[in-house]
Amino acid sequence: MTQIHELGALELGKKIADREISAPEAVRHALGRMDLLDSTVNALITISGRSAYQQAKAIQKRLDAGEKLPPLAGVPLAVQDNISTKDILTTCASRMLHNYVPPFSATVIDRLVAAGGIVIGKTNLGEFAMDGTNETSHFGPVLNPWSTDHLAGGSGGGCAAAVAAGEVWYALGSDTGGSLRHSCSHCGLTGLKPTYGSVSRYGLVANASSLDQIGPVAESAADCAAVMALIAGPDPKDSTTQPMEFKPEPVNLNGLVIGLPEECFLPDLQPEIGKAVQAAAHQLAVLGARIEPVALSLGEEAVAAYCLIAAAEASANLARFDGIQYGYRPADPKHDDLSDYYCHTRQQGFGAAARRWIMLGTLILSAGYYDRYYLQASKARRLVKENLQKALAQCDLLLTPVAPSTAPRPGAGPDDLYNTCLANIFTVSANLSGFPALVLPCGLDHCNLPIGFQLIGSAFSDSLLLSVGTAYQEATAFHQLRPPHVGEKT
Amino acid sequence: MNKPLPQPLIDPKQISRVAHLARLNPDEAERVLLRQELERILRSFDRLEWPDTRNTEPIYHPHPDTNRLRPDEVQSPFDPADLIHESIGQDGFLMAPKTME
Amino acid sequence: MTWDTIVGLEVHVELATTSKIFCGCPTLFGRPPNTQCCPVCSGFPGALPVLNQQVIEYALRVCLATDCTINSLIRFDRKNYFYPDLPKGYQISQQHQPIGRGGKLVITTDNGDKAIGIHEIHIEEDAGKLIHDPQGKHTLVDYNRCGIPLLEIISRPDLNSAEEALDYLDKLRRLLLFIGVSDCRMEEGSLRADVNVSVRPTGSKVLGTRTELKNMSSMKAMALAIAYESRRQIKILTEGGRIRQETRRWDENEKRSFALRIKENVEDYRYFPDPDLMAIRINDHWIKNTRELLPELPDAKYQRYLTTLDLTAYEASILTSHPALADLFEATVAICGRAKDVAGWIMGEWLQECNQRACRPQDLKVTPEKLARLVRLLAEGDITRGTARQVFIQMIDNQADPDDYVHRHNLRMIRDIKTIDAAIDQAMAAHPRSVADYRAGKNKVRTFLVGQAMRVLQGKADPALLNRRLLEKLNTPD
Repeated sequence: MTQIHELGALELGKKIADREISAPEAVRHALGRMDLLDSTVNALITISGRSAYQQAKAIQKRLDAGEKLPPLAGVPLAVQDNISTKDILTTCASRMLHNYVPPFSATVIDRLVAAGGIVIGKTNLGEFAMDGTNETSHFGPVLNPWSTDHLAGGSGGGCAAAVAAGEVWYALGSDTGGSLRHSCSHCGLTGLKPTYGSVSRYGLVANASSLDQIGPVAESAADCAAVMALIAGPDPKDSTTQPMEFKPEPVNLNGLVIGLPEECFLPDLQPEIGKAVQAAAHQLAVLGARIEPVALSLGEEAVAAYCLIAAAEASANLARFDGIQYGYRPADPKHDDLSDYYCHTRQQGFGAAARRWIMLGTLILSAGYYDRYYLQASKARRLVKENLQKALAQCDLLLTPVAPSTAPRPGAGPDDLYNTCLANIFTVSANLSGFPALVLPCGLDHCNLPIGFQLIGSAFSDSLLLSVGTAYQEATAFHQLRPPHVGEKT
Repeated sequence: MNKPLPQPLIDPKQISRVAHLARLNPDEAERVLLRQELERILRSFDRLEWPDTRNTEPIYHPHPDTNRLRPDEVQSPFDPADLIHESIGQDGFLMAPKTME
Repeated sequence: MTWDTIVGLEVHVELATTSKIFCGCPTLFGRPPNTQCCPVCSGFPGALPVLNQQVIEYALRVCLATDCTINSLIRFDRKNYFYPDLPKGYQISQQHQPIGRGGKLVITTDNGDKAIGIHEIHIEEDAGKLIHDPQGKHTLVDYNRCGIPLLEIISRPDLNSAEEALDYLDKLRRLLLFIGVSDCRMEEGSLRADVNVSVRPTGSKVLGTRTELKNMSSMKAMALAIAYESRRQIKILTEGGRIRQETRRWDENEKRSFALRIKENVEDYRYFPDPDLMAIRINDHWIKNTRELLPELPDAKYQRYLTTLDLTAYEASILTSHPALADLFEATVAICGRAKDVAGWIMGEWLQECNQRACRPQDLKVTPEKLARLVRLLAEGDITRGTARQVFIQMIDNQADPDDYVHRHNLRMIRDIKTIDAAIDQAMAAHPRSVADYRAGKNKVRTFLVGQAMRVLQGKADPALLNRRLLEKLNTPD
């Protein structure tokens, strides 16, 4: 018999609605899985078991009274720890916010909770979701449920690892340069980086405001679509949100043109990834899509522009962490000199990687550097977007790899910032242009580590992406593969 | 397209200046590392072959929308106790290190 | 050698919106610390700004009223610096694409009108308030003011004296009040002026090194500070010294300024477009609508009062010093005409009462309609000025109706000669000594006797008549 944690989010939601499984039972099961696995995987920073259990009881009461609730009501979820949750610690995996409890919830949380969602834990990530790895977390790295010798990817590895380990049925993460997509790809999950502005950022602790987007992580595109249906839509508290119609419908792939940028398949790409991605393209062709080669440069220019813009915005976004109102305070605060106090707090409160980003951003915004770097990067951003638009004028969707390699081992990644960014070569364009990108699992490498591929669409084609993803997953079973024996004593 | 690069791009004085602007106080070892790393990134950026962008308008947002405005209406403020937690001190003021003008 | 003083003003004015610029917190002044705040204005992680439409509306009015060129696309930039009054570590301001540039404001000088250039007008959020405790170990911080919308209006260095600077600030204050964008209270900090001062030998075209003056909390303080600074600089230069570029703080008690910090390195604020806010496009339609809503500006009003209402320059100037006065004046004149009489009453009794009660002109709860009737009673000789004052107090304190009150208390002016003569006789009989003194040549005593006779009639006698009859009687020996 299928265990509860092997169900998809929608499947569990249906069983809860049909009162085959109770919401408190789902919460208990999730807590049990966390107890069993999380000391190994380290996907979670905070477990909010008590409040989750109370919420579950309240929802169950309404269901027992015959009330009809939205499809994911009663299904526990995990939330990346840079998304504000009222009364639940929100640390951004940084010492700077190790004790910070927000006085308000992010709009996405309000919307999910209103629909019966139960926040059961806050997931681990790279500090402030800043690097392409989660090793910079103040709470230690997230290991990959498929192989604990490997990382879950980053920076948002915790939300993917929590879902892959069967601790929760879906999760919310953020994606600034590919974070959510990388960790989904490395953990064999489906994840969407929505169109910029389609999901409110209110309450997301900003890394790079013009690139950040919150998105769903789940077993399938259908589950992601169910989450999007709840969280997408304009928010009066976020001026950058856009009115968007989100209505995924079953789609016929006949006549759909999918562009395959040939430049993606460079020698740097792990050969197994190239093969699996080609196979996914072939599978979509079998389903009726037309695969066309397209000329699209996914060159280093985009990565460089991303790196500078992200650093510049982050340097200002992280200026509010000064030890005066909330968060970390040095043990021996020197109150006699203001500048010393700031420097102490920030030097000790931020990890080395965050300090490096802040230094880069501060430098390129300062006099003598702004025009040459920040302004040039903002011009490059226009070019990247126009290139992507041109490519998407010739086809409906683009298909690319997600990462040049499968999940890395701890300590194996590049130690300098620029090379860390280069690992995002397939993903940053979607952030710079604001276009949506969906990651779907498409195989395993020789170490049994998952491989994913990415579909990129035009702005506001989120529904189409998820419908195509669902069609693909109806014909394939990669998304149903489970990590073997994770954390279970053998 | 660009003027010749200054050599070096970032000198130790620049690192001190930027660290002060960012209110960080890296020790000597970190300063050396930071200087190397930032220099490497800027050089990588400069090395890339950019098209002529003199007439390219920069963009600061994915979407070109404008005029996101709200009406001038008051919403009830937060309970101060909810907002300022532990740092609230004397008579409802927040306590900051002594500042001198 | 003679010297010219060059002055430029950077005026910060708080806009009179009901909610803050980027959140729905109220903008009330004088509330307990940290009670008018929310996650947005106190810079909590994840909170986002949403622009208040009224701020743009008000800023447009100011740009139009000062003939600025309005940018069709404006953006907000982050100005990055650390200070405890700035919870986000940056201030949202405008650097690259401000709302207006290149305007002017006309001031009056001894040599006639002079146009002062306005370099730039931009929008920004206010910072919090710090209380520096000289003994304590801490600085106390209040975020209530964080996020109050501000306009910064930067003049060109076209002013040449403290008097000109004062007139510029006064003209600007009137303008802002009349277009309804600010209450302009210097004492509450809703209007603040920083002043740049330099001097140069008369005839020179080169600007001297300038200093920046801060902390003047009144017009008078500003004038004193400019005059002081100009003298200080001239003295240094005459003695062969050099001026340091610095910020100086005006000390109101000592009536002198002190150097704050020397601007060796210009601050590096690293302005860049705020990614949380979208650009604002201001099209011609919007500008046209705003222009149509602009009221008559104070300069135009002043001219109209002089030419069509025949007021003196002094009267016109006082009445256009605050929209509450101009509105009251115009509404009253619309009912009863008699512009001179209305102006006289407002500038006299009305302002005097406000002064005594320490309240604003608009705080006296007397309608133009009632005021018009009072002025008419007085002007038509139905009551004496003394009675009118008495009635006016009743109107303020007890919402009395002037005609009704005069009638019920029988306050109409007494013009009956017999009654008046009787009163005079009674006063003269009671004070034979004074009568004798007068007749011995002490003219001053007459005033006393007028008062005594008036008193007999409870102040209601026609003063001209009473005076005439008294004189006749005094000059006619018994």
